[in-house]
Amino acid sequence: MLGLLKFELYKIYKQKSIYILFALLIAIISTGGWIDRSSEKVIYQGYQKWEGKLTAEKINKLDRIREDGNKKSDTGQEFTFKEHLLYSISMVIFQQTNFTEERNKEITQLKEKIQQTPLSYKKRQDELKKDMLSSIDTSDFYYPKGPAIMLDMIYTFGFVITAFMTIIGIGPIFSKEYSSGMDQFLLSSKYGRSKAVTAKILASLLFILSVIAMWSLYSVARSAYSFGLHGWKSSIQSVIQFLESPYPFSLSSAFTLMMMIHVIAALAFGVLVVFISAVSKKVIVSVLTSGVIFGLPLVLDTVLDYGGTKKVWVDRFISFSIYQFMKVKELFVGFRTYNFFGYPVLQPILAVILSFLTIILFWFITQWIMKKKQITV
Amino acid sequence: MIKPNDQELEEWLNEFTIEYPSEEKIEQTIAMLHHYVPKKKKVHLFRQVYKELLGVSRVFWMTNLIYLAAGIGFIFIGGGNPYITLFLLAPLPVLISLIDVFRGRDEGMIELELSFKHSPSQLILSKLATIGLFNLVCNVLLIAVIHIFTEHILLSSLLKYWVVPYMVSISLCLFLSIKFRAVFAAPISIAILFSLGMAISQMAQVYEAVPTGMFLFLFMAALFVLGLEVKMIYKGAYHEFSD
Amino acid sequence: MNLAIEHVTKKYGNHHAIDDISCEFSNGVYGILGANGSGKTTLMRMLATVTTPTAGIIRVNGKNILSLGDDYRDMIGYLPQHIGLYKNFTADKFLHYIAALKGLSKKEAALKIEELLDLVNLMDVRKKKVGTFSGGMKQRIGIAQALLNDPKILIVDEPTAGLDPKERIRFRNLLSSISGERIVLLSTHIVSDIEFIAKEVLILKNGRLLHKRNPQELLHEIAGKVWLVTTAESEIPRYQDMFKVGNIVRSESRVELRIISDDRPSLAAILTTPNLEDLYLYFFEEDFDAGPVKV
Repeated sequence: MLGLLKFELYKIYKQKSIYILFALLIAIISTGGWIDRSSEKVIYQGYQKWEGKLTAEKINKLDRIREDGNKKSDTGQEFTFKEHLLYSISMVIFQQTNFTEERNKEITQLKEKIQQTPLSYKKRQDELKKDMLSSIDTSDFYYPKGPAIMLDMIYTFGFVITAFMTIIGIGPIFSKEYSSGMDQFLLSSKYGRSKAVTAKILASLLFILSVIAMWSLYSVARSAYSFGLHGWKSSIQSVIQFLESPYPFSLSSAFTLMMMIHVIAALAFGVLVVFISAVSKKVIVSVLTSGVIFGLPLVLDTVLDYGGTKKVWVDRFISFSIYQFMKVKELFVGFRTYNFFGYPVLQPILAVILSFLTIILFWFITQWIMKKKQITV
Repeated sequence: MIKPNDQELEEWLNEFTIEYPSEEKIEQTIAMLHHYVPKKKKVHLFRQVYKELLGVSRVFWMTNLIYLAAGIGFIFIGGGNPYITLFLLAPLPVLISLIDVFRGRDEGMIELELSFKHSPSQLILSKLATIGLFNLVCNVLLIAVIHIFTEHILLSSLLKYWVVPYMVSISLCLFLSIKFRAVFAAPISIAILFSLGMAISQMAQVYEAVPTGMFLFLFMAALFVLGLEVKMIYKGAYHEFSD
Repeated sequence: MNLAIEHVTKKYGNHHAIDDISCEFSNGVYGILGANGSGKTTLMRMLATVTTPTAGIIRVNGKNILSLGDDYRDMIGYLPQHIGLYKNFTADKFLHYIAALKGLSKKEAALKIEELLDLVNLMDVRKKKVGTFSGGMKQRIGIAQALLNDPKILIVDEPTAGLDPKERIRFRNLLSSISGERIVLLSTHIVSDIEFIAKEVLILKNGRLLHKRNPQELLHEIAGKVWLVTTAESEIPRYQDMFKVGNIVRSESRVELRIISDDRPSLAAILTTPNLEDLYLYFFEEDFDAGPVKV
């Protein structure tokens, strides 16, 4: 088994195309990434004074800075670098305290609603939301730029890299055997229909893990170098995209969790691609089919999400796509649950369950298909 | 297992000698056979390409059709952004068709094709020209429809969202196709195009802020590269490719 | 070892590639003779389990090969007609890969590969990529991979295609020497491949099994039907029109024709001993002649 696994890995990593694609993708994410580290240091030092518990005293001070700044910008006066920095810090805090207030309002509203409604899915949903919102703690303030950039990497480029590398690297795993005539050896040998199939799937999953490890290490190293490794204790709500997120996470737990979900979804996609390859006679068919499965929601999402007016059916289609699961971001942006026998299941949990089901189902089907496979002329 | 004795074999095989026919006889045979060689019919190159595209490359027509349908569908029914639509979808028919253009070579037919009346280089270039022209017509059609029925298309935006990504992705794909198997060149180029498209749709303001001159430069560069690639194809640089 | 084919049929759409064939094999070499499209390859593929019969069962020692699954595949060695190889693999690596597929341990594989590379005369190119190999070399590595697991049933589909005469003789002797303790099924349309080594010859035509007998018996069937006629060059078309003409041997001004016919084709015709090639011609003459044949 280990021997077969080694051979399958060798075959995957021997493909030149994966290196070309990876190099091009890394080149893309590296452009425009130049950061002036010294000015970044000054910004961090500016923030550092305000880090820690947000006391009433700090908030008062920042309120005054903000009001002064507002006046200044109204009259069109120039800011010095330091003033501008302080002003933006005050704006960030202002935004966050505003949202904390809104959250508290929503919690009281939810409490009232829960008391009025009888036991139902709706009630459980509200209770869940109330509990989640109550557990959010934004009383601490940290400069979260580094972790925010790493988080950002997952849903801007990271998941696309994983997906396209999977399509190019794994797409040919069976179809190339068919088109090269090697399937005759595979299908007539002792382990060709059993252990070799398992080896192929395992090799695919290892390949995907290695791809994720590569880009995430690159991203972590780059943002650690540019922004430093601090701010992990900050809440997920301190990152602008997650301002309204109902999830009570610190950035460190959010990053770990989102990476884990990405990995699970990516493995599910990998097994799906292996399955598609197993039923495609030609390499191009398997590559394009897997490409459409990932790319169609991507195109719809990118093209139709303009000005935030997405059609409902498009939204539903996308929210159940492997694209969305791998992107992870949208799972944590808002509060979305699904009715499961009267109990609310949070979208991220559903995504993980569906991903695992995909892995199990298509793993099993692929093994079964290869057991029954006949070569065609 | 018993191995046959090589020496015995050799001796045995040496008993069979075949006399080589004389030069004269060979000439005679050729002269005789010459009568039976069918006369070549003159087929115009473009006619052949046209025929081939009609008959063989269903993929090409299909992708163009799907492209037009998807473009119109996204913009009119889905309310999508016409520029991003052009960015992501416009190059797809050409990129996918490149697989077909290089199929002969990828399947190891180059030696055979080299013996044909029209060299594979000529065929590839004329196919590229046909594909490019037809796709251009489709694009102009789609842009005209958008321009008339929805919003007015700005020429500078067209440059940013259609011309430059279109040219760059196609020249990248053509380059990869010359050097590698087209079956991978196309998906790689599409992957790059989509990654860029996604990033740009998320950072639209940054992209908008890039000066038009930069795009003009990129356009010229892509044009130059395309020219080089045509020259490479003409010279047969694609015969040797990496698997 | 007993391999039995019981009423096996294979259909592709409406076309019967194999039509209700039954036969049995025990240790020894069996030659499967047939023209292109006669169903040889389909039969071999079913025996190698890369395709399954539409109807009927193939049994080994009384057990259905499809329910034996991996255990059956462990017993066989299969050399397909058109072999595909990983171009970027060296000969050595390729064989190690197949050995892993066949479940050989690393140690066993190393020993066996050493032995087989020597046997097929590829020792000095073992570190070269198979993509650079000539047709004959590819064929030889195909033969080597089929023998890796010491198969009890060896299925080789047109194994001598692409081999030069020397390699061919070598291969023939090799098969003959290993056939004592196993079943060797060899399909070919080159009669000399099996003429002297086959225990029995199967003749397939349009998916049906016409004969399965030992070569001598088969030859006996056409005894008295093979003639030698010496005539003028200009007479050849006339003979070809009227009879099945095999070998044509030219000497100075005359030609000697080998004719298969129930009746004496001409007064000067001499009876001769039939060989398997005559037999092949007897069954498949349509596929042999380039010109039209009127019988």
